[in-house]
Formats: sequence, C-alpha cells, structure tokens
Amino acid sequence: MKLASLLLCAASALVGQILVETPAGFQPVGASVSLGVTNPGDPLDTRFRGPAQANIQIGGAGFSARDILPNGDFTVRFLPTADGSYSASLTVTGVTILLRATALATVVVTQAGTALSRGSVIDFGVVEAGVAVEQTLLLENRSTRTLTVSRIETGAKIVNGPALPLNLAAGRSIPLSLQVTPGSVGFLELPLSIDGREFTLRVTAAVPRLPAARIVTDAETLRSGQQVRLRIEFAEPARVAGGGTLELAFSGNDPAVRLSTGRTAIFDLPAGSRVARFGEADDIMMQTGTTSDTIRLLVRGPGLETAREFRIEPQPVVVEEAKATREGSTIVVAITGFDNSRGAASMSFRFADRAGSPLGSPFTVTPDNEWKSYFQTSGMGGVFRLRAVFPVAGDVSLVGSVTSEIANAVGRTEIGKLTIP
Amino acid sequence: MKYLLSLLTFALFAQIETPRIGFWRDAQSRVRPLHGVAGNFIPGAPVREDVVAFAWYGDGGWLRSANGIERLDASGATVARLPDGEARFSANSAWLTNLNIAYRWDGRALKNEPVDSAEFAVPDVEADRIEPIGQDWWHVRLRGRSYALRTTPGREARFEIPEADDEAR
Repeated sequence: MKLASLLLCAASALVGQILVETPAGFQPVGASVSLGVTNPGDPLDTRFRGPAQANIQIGGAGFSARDILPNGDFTVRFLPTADGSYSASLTVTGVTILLRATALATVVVTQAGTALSRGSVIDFGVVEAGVAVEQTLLLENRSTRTLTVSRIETGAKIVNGPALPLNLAAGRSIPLSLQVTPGSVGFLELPLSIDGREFTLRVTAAVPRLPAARIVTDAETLRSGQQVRLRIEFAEPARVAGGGTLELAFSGNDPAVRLSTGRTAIFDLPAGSRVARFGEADDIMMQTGTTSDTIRLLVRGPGLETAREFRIEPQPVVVEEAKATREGSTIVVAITGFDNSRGAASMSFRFADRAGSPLGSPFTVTPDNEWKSYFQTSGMGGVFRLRAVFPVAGDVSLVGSVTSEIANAVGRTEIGKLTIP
Repeated sequence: MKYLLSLLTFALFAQIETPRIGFWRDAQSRVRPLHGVAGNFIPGAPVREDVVAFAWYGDGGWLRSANGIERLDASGATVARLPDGEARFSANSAWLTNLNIAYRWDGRALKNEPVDSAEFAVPDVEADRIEPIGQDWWHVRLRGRSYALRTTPGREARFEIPEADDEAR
C-alpha cells in the first residue's frame, strides 16, 4: 500500500511535468487533455512540453507527434479522415495521459482529386497579366449524412457554383468553378472561404505578350529631308498595360537620321489601346536625314519583334535656300541644301546684266576634291552650305542676276535665277 | 565690255561648311547651335547654360541669365551688358519691360531710345514660349515639345526639333 502510494505520487509528479500550450501559456496537464474540434482533413496542432530528451509515444488513429525538440517541446497533430470523436494515449517518458478530439463533418474541397486542408493554397498557375484563368474545385460530402454549405466567400469570380444554402447528400459532390484575372504582373492571392474554412487562391501573372504590331508612317515612300510621323498599331487592343521600345538603325553616317528622342524611343501600350503611346502622343517624329541608305525600324516588346525597312534612294541635290549678293567687288552665291549621294559634282553659273543679257559663257566647275573633303569630314550627312565667291573686274553693280545649277550622279538640279539686289 | 568676270574659279569653293539654322534655348535652358536644314536638324552641344531668355537673329542676339542681359555679336561673343530684368528683344533692341526703357545696339554701343512695342512683336502662334533662333526662324515650345517655325513669306512651315542629348556634338 505504501509502495503503491509512492508510485502514484511519482506518477502524479511526472504528469505535472507535462505541459500543454494554452492562450495563457504552457499549463500542466491532467490525466486527459481535450485538443478541440476540427474537420476531416484539417490538421489540428497542439504544442506540449515534457522533460528534456523525453521519450514520446502516441497510440490512436488520427494522432501523431512531430517537431520533437531536445528541450522536451513537441507537437501533437490531430488529422482526422472522417467525422467522429477520437481519443489516443500520449506517453511521455513512461507517463501516459489521454488525448481527446472531435472531427465535425464538413464538405471536402478537392482539387484534381486531392482533398485540400484548411489554409491550403490553390494554385491557378502562371498566366499573362490580364488573362482570365479558371480552376474547378469539387465540394464533396464524404460523410454518411447530408451536409449543408451556407456560405461561400471569395475574391475570385464564381463562374459555376451551387445555389446557397446547399444541401449535399451523403456521397454526392458538386463543382465550384472560380475565375481569376490578374491585372498586373506578379503574384495575386485571393481568399476563398467555405463555411469558415479558408483557402488561398494564387495566380502568377507574367508580363503579357504584346499583340502583333505594324509600323505605320504618314508617307509610304520616304525620301531624304523629311520629318515623318511614326505610329505603332497593334492587331488587337492590349488586355493589360504593356510597353516596349522602338529602335532605329541606320547603316549610313548621318546624325540627322533619328527619332525625336534619339535612335531609341520607349513606348507604352495602355490597357484597351491598339496604338502605342510615346509620352503624351500616339506618334513620334522621325527624320529621314540627308544620306541615301536604309533605315531599319524595330519594335521590341514582350513576345514581339517587328521590323520595317525604308530604303532612302539617292536623289538629285536638294537646294533649300540660295541667295546671290554683292560684297565689295565680288558676287557671292550662297547655296544651302543637301546631296544624299554625297557626290555632288559639277556646278554651273550663268551671269546676266540687269537687262537679262548674258554676260559671257557659263562657268562650269567640277570641284570633286572640295566636296569629297567636306563630306568625309563633316559628319553631318549630306547637308552643306556652299559659298561661292566671284571676283568681278569692272563695275560689279551692273551684274543683275545669276542662274545656276548643280549636279550629282543622279541628276541635275536647277537653282534658277537669283536676282542680285 | 564695261566689266569682266574673273575666271579664278578655284576661289569659288573655298567655303563648304555645315549649314546652321541658328542658336536656340532647349528645355534645360541651354543655348545650343541647331545644325542642318529644315526638317533635318542636328542639335549641337550646349554653348551656354542657365539661360533665362534668348534671342538669336543670325547676325547677333540677346541672352538673359542671372548675370544680366548680354548683347551678342555674330560670333556669339558678349559685346555689351544691361542689368538683369524682365525683357523683350528684337534684332537690335532690348526692352526692359519693368522700367519701360528700350536700348538699341547701334553696332558700337547700347543707346536709350523710346519704346516701340511693334518692334518686339512675335508670330501669332500657339506657344508656351517663343524665341527667335535665326533669320526667319523661331523656336516654339509647346506642350513639352520644341518646334522650329519658319516664317519666310510663302515658305512658312513648322518642324519638330529633336532634343535628346545623345546627339550632342
């Protein structure tokens, strides 16, 4: 009797060394511990603390020990597969207590045949931002009696779901189809709650591919010396906002061949739009320059690479401005323009008096070296300003006009009659 | 024959150079040359910074900065100065609008003269800012973009000035 009392005291002392975590902290357990209520498939974890290096054993279906630490802390997980009242024995270093828990029947949410526990992440996969993606879950009654679903709350769109409240007979199931449309790139997580059982819907949104595009100009055939407007038009409206770059490549040496922003422009494509935006405008200026060669435009964006080439053909010299003046005893002819072949050759000047009568024969000159030297060193494409000085022996005021023309390999350009004021 | 024309043709081609429209003040308040021809502009590297107002007429101009108002000659060199203040410019005159005094550059010095507001007229176009950049050329700043406005009678036209720094030279 004495021995029995001593053993009981020793056992009670050991039971006192087993603690269970409560909202008020770890508390000593009695002979039995109620772990609480959960649903089939939903784990219910409870933290315990025993002696350091304790030997822990659990006997009972649905219960298991995990996260056993050397200091004696461990977790008991209750994971029922069906509804009902459950119990198990927990033995810690020779001392046994009773664990009790309850599983209430509820509809089981399954995804592709797998039952989901409370708190599970339901992955919708990876889609382009702006694209709707759907998942169909199944609400199953695996119990032996009719279950009622009263409330389904979610941030997703329910495209196919039961009318609530739903009375689901034992052994029956019903689909629940959800649709998520991520509006921007990145992770999107939305809640799903079925009668208080919460899940997380997750979709990963990738950068959307841009629709097919084409580069449009306000002039189909381009020539040197133009400013044209470029637009990027897309085959269909953008589902979500996107963007890309417009790049200009030019094989010739001409800094005037460029977009208003340089050789590269960044564009945005607003959601719902079919036209790229360059800042506040839906087009961008391109200069064709003054050099004959090929301009290549390239539109780049997610899933998109579209090019368009423009051949700038050689053309006769273009004269932008010409003026003849008297400066002392000389006549000065100033010509501003461009030669996109950069091979201007001969020039001719025919002077006339104030009455229009020719003054001698025309001057024809072929200043190859001067042109070549200028175009090789200017680095400015085909633009030039020529200042021709004609010393006059005699009364320079009697010279009334000069008619001139300039030629390159493509053709001749008449500058016309320049009256000398 | 009362006159003869020289046949010294080698003298004809002593000068072939890059054409220049003039000088303009960009969005960063820098004065830069504008090379090229109409519609094919090549902005050059800045020659002055922190410029408050600018006017260029081909053979001279005006520049206003924190240091005051400068009269520039055809090469861009400062040849005369006025104290800083709100001003409007014409090819040869600066009108200090707060004082209502005009100064005319006579080629050697600035001289006080009566104000003739008509002399300071600018083209009647929509603009956030408008400044002369060369003979018959104006720089129009409008809604964040720069334009070159040609006002030569019969050849009026507007072009966009590309502004990115990557072409500075």
